[in-house]
Amino acid sequence: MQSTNKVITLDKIKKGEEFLITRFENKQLKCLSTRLGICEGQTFKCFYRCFGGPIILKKKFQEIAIGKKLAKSVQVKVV
Amino acid sequence: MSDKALSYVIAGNPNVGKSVVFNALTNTYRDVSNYPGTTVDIAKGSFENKTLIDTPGVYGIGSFSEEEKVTKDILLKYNKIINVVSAVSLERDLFLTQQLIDMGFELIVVLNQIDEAQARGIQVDIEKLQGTLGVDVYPTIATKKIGINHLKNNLNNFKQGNKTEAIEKLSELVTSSSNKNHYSSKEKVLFLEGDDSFDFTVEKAIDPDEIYTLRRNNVDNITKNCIEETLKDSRLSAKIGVLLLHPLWGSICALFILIALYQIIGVFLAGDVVGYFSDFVTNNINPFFSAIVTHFSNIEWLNQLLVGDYGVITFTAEIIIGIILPLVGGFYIFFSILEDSGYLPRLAVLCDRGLSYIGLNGKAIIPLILGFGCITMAVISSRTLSSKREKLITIVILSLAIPCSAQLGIILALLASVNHLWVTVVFISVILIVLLLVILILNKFLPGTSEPLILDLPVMRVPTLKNIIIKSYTKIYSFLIEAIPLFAVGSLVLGILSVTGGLAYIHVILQPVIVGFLKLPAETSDIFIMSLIRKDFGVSGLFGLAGVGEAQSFLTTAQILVCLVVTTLFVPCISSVIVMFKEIGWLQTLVIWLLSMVIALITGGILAFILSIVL
Repeated sequence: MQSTNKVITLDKIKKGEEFLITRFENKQLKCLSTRLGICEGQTFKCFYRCFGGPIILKKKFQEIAIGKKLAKSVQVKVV
Repeated sequence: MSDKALSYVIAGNPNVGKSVVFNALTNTYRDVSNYPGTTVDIAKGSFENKTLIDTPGVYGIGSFSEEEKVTKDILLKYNKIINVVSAVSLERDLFLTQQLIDMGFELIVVLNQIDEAQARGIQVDIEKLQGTLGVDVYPTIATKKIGINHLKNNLNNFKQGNKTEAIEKLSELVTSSSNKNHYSSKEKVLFLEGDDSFDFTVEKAIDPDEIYTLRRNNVDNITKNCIEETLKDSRLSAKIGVLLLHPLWGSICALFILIALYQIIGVFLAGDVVGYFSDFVTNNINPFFSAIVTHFSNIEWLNQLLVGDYGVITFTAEIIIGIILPLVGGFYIFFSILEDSGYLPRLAVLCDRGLSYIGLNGKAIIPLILGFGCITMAVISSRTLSSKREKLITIVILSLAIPCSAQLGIILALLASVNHLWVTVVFISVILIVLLLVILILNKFLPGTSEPLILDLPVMRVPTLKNIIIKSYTKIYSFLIEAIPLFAVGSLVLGILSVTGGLAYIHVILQPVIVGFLKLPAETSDIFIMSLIRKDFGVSGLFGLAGVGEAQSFLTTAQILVCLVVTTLFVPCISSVIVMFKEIGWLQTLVIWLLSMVIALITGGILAFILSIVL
């Protein structure tokens, strides 16, 4: 089990886990994500993890795939 | 009135139905797909006395991709925007709406896909949304033309909306550093968001992220107040969407699609249907034209040019109607179903890991697959890739090793007619080895790395029959409009060479390469000359020499294999070259063109040598 207080990167999140985004290290990703409705301080669910590849976040009906390399630059906290 | 006042621009996120709204308003067909990147070029249509301009789908105005730059440049020229949003993804879509309002555009908001939203338990309070945004909102189901008439009747009610207060205050701090005050509020907002193409200064440093966050908070508040949700999330489409992302099931599905493509295009269309069409042209159309031409003319060389072996009329009809039309038609119908279902972005996610090894990200799969339809179209769609590096690698792959639908159909038919599994295995292996080597070299020596992926996945939908028919028809029509003149010119050139004896002379010149190096009969020179114009034109010639559907073949199995490899790797067709000029410049295009020819001939020579020893 992940510790609920520990900050990890998005690529470490498991399928089905809910998490809070604490920080985007990549400025461009931050802007692109903000447009799509993914912001720091919001909670999401890991909808799916492609084997060795992108993480799919789900927010209502919106599914957003984030490549593994980018996911490593997003800090999150499991909630 | 000025052109600016008479033009409305349609803008919105990808997959919200911009092109359907454009089609409905202008009665012109615009390609409509369930994946981002359909509208990579700008379409214009007219509505009453106004010009309507359709733009590529973007999530915001900025410079993150080529599409965004294109959209930004167009928007800055005009003032009135028809902003299409989807009721299903309003939270996402209103970011662009609010950005347009913050920039000071006059807007009409088209709230599309309200039926899908209702099916998912989403209710939008339109009155409240209008009040909060400060602009008119018109609900529509554009695919069923519901709400379109009401929209048409109110298409003059453009308004400037309610700006995000904090952003408005910040933009007042922006001044021109060169003391020019003619810059618009649009440009000032873009400057605050980090766009450095404007000559501005600001009293205090503002982080561009801050503007985005302020706007996002505003939009989140609007949606919280205007949307009522009782989400119904147990839809079959969501489950299918997940299945397609699964490494095993997703790959099986991709394999199943490839097998279906082979069976439909390679076996059924290229075999039975092409046979029927070819017979029809040979027995009905060509004798008809020959009779007309010979009735009016008894000049032998002219008759040869028009209705001879390479006659402009007969040869073009034989290739276009007899071979190309059934193959291209079949491919576009098949591809339209994939496009409209929402499968392609999922395939992009599935392929992301694999493509990252060759310097691309998953998004590149879309132009690569489009290439199996038409390389020209695929080169244009490579604009959706965010870096020049990825664009170049994708274009090289497209030029070198992806056969277009017409060429693919002929290759599949030839492979099926040879009926030896080893030929298919060797053909695919050789193409993949060459491709892999070229990509590895490019990936190693081109500076930079693959761009990371961020992709919004559209909802899986059942494609509508009407859209598939219209879309396939439009694509087939565009393909033929582009191909027929080139085929006719190609036939004419070959006809002139044939009549003047030039063809025999070229056979002699090319003999060391064709006969000596590639170990092919001298007649195959025609195939390579034809391939310079279009690859499918070349392989169509191979169709006859290999005796597909006939008892006698002029080529051995090894020679067919060599021809297939060389023509597949050969130079891109003329129309692709023209588009490549535009996309990556003449120098890179020229290098790709020359390299394709050298690689094709060397690979063919090596293969012919190995086959002559082994067989």
